[in-house]
Amino acid sequence: MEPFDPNNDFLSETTKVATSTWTNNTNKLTSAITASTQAVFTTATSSGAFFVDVHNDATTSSVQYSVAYGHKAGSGSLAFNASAPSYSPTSVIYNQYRQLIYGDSTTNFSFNGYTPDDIYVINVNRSRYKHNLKPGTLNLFLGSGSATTVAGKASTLHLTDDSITTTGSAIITNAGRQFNIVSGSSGVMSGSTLTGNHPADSGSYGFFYPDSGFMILNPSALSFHLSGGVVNTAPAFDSGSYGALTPQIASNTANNNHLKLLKSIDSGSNFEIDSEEKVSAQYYFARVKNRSYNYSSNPTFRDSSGNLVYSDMESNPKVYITTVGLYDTPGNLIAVAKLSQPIAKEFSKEALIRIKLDY
Amino acid sequence: MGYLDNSSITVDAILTKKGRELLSKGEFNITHFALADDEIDYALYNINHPDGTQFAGQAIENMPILEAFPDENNMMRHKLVTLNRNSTKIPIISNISNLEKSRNGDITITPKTDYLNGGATTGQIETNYIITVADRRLFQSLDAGAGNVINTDTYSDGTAVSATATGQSFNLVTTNSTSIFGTNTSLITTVTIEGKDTGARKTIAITINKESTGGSGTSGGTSAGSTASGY
Repeated sequence: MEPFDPNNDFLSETTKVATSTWTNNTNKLTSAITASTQAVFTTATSSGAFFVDVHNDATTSSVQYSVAYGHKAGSGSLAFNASAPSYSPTSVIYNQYRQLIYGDSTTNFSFNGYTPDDIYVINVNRSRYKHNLKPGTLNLFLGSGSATTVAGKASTLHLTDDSITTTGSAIITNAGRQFNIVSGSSGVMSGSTLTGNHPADSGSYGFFYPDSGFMILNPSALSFHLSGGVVNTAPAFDSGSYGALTPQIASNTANNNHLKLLKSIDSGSNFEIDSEEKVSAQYYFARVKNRSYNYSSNPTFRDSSGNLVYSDMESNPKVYITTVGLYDTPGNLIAVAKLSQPIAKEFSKEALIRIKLDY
Repeated sequence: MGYLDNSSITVDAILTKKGRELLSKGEFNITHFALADDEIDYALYNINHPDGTQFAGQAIENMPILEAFPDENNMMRHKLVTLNRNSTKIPIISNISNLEKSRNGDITITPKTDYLNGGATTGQIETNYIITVADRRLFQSLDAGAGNVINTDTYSDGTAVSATATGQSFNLVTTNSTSIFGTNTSLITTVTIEGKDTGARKTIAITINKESTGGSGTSGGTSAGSTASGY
């Protein structure tokens, strides 16, 4: 074994790697597929009453993200007990995200000065976003499906975050950085106001929390700007007829408003966002000098008496490097690297092998 | 005019099982490297190649190499060694051979090296030897001398992980536990001795009997047991 020179042979490097968030490095999800085993809404404690998981496809299903709806008074879902209607899945969702972001049970979500009673949530699966979602890569289209087009409203909303338009302006919350969700694309806001070209009486579209992997959307703003908002039919999960994104807020009733958001995402056919991770690598430089490592302990290199198999090699031995072992001082083999092809080593040759160890 | 090749070779390393264990204990510190030619069969070196001696290594040089294994006991088995030019011999570990032992028994291993510097002298001693016990659960302790004692069963989490120590003579105490045997009457593990100066390596098998049946206890000098498995 040969010691490394700590001043010259070690190098630590950290690089940021961005990849598509979705399974198989798919650039964007064009549909929202659910699983009947999870999307169950029969009782207040059914998991589907709280959130619905969205998969990338129907066969090799892997959860990509979840959608949820929260109401601070517990409306829009069955109550856990009819005598206490404010304790329901929607109030659980609202309080859960409020506590996560604001750390208390009194602050309400306020979107550019407007404070609705409810929120939509898109929560990206933890395993999909690695260290964090990458600001400036969000392109989420919300469609209105077959709902009647209404004058002055968009049939599709193109949402992104404002991280590029307002670079460095993120607010730091208990859930990490917070950016506004705005109309635009790839981190660039279209127009000059958070509410787009419409009057700001319903607030901004929402907030994006890249470090925690979720988005909080403002139902009022979405409903105001997206066509179909006036239809407001009961959400029928499989029928395709839904009232855009206007929530229904009956007490102790399973309105399943998060399915409206799900349908709208499916109708928009474009959910694109990248994720980031920091990859720390340690490099070790193994310098193989001309006079070193020219013989081998390989049993095929010698006979049982220790003689070289090829006598011609006594003066000019030739061996082949296939493996580099990294050791600690006591002699433990703690990392190992293999070359793709053997490298010939003899007295007239030197080699520099760079070994990369990722953490 | 051609371009000079100024590139270095870059390879990705993986952690061994031992490396992961040390990383989890905060004892991960790489300080040395070594080279090996595992997988190379020098019988493929064709000194009578019809196209000339410069093609003698053609078969070896075109060999696709397997990916690394995470088991530290199965990697770096055949190290490249540094010897003076015109050496006629390759160093070999000697004075150790296979052993059979009962539970709670002492084993002494005192390795030597033949042809230490590529010459013909036998029975020499290197600066140090590295001993690797493949399954440390089968031993109570590994004493490498000079206070370098590893209580090999202390860190056992139920899986077979190696223990390594450095010294010139080693004392092992076999396990006194019967539970690890299950229904087996004996268990076999390997102990690998490697010369720190030469990279010469020899592996012996140690058989540990569940019930007391006698058996030899010393590997070095007057060792008993069957013939060495070594190389």
